Amino acid sequence: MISVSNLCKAVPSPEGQLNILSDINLVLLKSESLAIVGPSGSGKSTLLGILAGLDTPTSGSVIINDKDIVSMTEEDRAKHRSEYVGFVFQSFHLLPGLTAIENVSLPMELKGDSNASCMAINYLKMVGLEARSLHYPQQLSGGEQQRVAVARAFACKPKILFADEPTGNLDQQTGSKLSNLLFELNEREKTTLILVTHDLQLANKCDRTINLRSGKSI
Amino acid sequence: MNISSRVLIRALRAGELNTILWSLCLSVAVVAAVSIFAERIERAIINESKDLLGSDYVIRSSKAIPPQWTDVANEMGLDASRTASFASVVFREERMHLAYIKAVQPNYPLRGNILVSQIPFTVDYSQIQEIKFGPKIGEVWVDSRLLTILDVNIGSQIEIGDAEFEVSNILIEEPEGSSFSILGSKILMNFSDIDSTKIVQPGSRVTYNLLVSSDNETTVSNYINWVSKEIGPHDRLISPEEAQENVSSTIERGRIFLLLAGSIGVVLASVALALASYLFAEKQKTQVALLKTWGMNESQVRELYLNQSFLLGFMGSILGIGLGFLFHLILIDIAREWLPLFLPAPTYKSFLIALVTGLTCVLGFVLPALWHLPKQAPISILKGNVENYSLNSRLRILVGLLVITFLLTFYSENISITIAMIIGISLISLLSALTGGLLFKGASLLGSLFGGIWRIGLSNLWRRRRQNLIQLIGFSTAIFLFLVLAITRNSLLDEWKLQIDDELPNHFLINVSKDQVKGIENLIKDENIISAGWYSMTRGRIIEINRKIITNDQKESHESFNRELNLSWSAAIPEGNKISKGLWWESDWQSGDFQQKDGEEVISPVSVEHDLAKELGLKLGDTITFSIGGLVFYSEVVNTRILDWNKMTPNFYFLFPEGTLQDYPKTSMTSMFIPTDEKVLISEILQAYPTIQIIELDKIFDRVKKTISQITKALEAMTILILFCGILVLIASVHLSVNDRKREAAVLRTFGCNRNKIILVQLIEFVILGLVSGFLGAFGAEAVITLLSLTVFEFSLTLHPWIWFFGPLAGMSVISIFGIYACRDALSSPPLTILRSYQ
Repeated sequence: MISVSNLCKAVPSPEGQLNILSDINLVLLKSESLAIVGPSGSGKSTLLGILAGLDTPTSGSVIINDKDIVSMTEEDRAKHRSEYVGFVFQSFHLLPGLTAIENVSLPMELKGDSNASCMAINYLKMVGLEARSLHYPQQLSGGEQQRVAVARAFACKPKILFADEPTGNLDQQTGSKLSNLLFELNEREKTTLILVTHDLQLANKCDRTINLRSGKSI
Repeated sequence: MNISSRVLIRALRAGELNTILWSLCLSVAVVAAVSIFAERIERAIINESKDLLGSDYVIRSSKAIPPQWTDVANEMGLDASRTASFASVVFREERMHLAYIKAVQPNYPLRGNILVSQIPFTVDYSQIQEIKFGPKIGEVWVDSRLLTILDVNIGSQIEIGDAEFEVSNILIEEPEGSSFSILGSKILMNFSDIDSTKIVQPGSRVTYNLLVSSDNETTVSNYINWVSKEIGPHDRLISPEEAQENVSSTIERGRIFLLLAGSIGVVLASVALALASYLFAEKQKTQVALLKTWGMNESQVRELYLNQSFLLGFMGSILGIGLGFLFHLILIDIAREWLPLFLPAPTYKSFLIALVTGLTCVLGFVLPALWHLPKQAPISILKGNVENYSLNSRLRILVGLLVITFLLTFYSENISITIAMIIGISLISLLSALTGGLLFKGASLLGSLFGGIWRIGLSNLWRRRRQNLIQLIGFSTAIFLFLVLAITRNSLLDEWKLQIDDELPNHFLINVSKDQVKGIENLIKDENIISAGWYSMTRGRIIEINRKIITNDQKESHESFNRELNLSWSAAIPEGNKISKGLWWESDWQSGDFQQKDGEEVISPVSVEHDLAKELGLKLGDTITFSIGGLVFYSEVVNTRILDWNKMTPNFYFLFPEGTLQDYPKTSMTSMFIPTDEKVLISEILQAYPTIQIIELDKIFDRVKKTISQITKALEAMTILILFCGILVLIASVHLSVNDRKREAAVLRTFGCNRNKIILVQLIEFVILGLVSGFLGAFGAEAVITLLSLTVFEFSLTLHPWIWFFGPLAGMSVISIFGIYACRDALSSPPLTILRSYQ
């Protein structure tokens, strides 16, 4: 379960403190999905970053499995990410020098998983890219690259999957296919899914939605 | 396979580490090639020198060698052999001659061979025999001309002191020859025969030698350490290096050039490595952020990169050593003709030097570039802007300079080269920073005055100022180092060209009386040989300095106090001589101008050779008293001269004004070039005039010529290797901004800009960077060459106008070509593909 209380994030600016997030509260149960929506600059990615333990808030708490990740040290947050968290990014962020299968297996290898290659090929099969496993990112289309990224995210068996505008760089049709795949795998893996999107169709697929305006939940 | 190796292999496969690996590889290869090559040659030359010396070391003394020294040598397991050399008159009936006798033990020589023949004056190698032992008891081996002088043949008896000996062989050449006087016929006899001659008595002037050798180098060095503590002021230890003085300066200068070239290679490869590492670190920022989102903490990321770097270091070093070994084989192949048949295998030392170089390069250039990478915040991946965490650039330059200093010192063991290089690189970096700042700002302002393409091109210099500054330093360093190498190479070749002139005199005729000159001239004219002109001289012995009689200690300290010296005269400074101290006398100086000093005595001015004056402790104003044919002659040192030995014309250590020595007995000397196939002429001259002396330098000259021509080839091969290093720096520099340039080109193309205009935009930047780098490189090269000329090479100080033209021109052309080539994708691929690939 994820519980967020009184979350605020402010950064200094020439005009004084700039509030990026103000008093955000939410609760998300296991296997639930949450869409964070709002216009550009409303603080969606900042909220996602804090929930994922990539960033820290100015105040407030983020309790995940009874632990406040805000009060953790950076080392502990890294450990937390390693155990609980997976990511899908808008720009895919596949490593250009690695093949599809190597991109998927790398996070597992870093964790010391000896079965990384088998797992990677399984997940590539799930996203329908088994035949492209030895292809490099530049040999794949945008949609295929994002499917590899999705396979990479799920292969680590995260408890929570964070997706930052996963369809943002794809056309509507490819985006729609990708979102179906994301929810299908989410359903199968019983993962908690938190995503940031401008795509209302994608947001509507989620169990819950939080709408941000100027850093506030409305 | 662990994760670090796997990540490394994938990065290598993806080509992300190509420039780093190649830089590392080349850096190690240059060091390995030069170290292995130099080590093998040096060991071979030492072996050859040992043959010339007849042993590994010689201990020379004017007193009898203490028996304990021989005993200790034997106890330590060394071979030891004693020799004694002295001058004595030898007789055959009514005829006599002052000969130089060398008595040797039966095991002489310990290394090398004695060349003998049964045919006098032979130049036919098939008639010459190589043997490894000296004459038997009761036998002597003599110079060919002694047969003519004493009118004897092989098998004849000659008298030395109280004993009679049979002439059993003609002595052609023996090891340790240089220690044997060239001014008399040589005779080799058995050491056991010394006593029977009764020549060597207490107080006799004898040179005693103890020759030692062993195949175990440690045993030899242990003995040398021991005996070094025992030897006194009358003893001298002669190393193999001293046995080859005639070619040692050529080899030494060649070796210094190779070291300089190697050092330049190391610096160039280091700069390439630093640039490539910087570029690699820039590209890794996103990956690090990604790794951190996956839960890796800072220390885990650091460990991953540290492991990768050292694995890469080992891989690059091993590859580099392999490449270096191959390159050293090429160098050996080029120089094969000049090298001894047997080249000793290299020791582990050269390989270790190369490996240490590789790992030090990783420590000094790769790690500082990657050090702050693990600090990359994972959130940066969501924000889309990677942060610029990197080690302070000044600190990195400082670390780089320290590492280069260490590498240069460790590798070249030459502090002058190290200092000159460090000053050069610092100067270039500083000037690049100053010039770059002004240039980029100026270009930006100038660009605003123009429109279109020119504005884009010029303002890009300012927009990419950080990358451009690094490029400017990289480019100018590469150009500077290459110019230093080119100038040094040219100066050395020019200097050596003088020495390999085919018509250089290779024989000296001395002790020729006035009435013999004409006869000799006729003899050589028949063979179409021309002498370098006849120089008159008289022979005198120094008996006092500053009116104090030469002491025994002085006599033991310098050979010149023990023998007659050649004195000559000249109105003007001889060609090629240079006054180092004092003033030359007026050309119309007459003997009547003698200054009157100390009452009645007449004192003539004298010019003394610079080095000899130093060795004898002579200063301007000192008086030297000579004994010439029993008559006393006073002189005062008025100047010292540096001689030019390269021209091989007669040179004199002591010169007087013309006419000063006219009343003393004179002889003449000359030098001439005698080709090998006309060497029989020497026998003819000696048979006709047995009292004259001929110094044959042709073998030494041939060796010098061969050495020079082969070192020249090795030097050219090395220059090509360094050129590759320079190109690597240029490639690494160009790659710093290539992605940005490609993206910019793609954007311009989407706006409909044509190919030529895009090339022009890139050219504006590259041409300006190349021109400025060329000027900075030329400036740095002039500065460093001045330093090297003063400290290492002793070249005459001169400016090199061609580099001010060549440097900027080469910089502009090469950088533009490489730059445009590196960006060629952007001109041919669809713009969208380029934009997507750099998203």
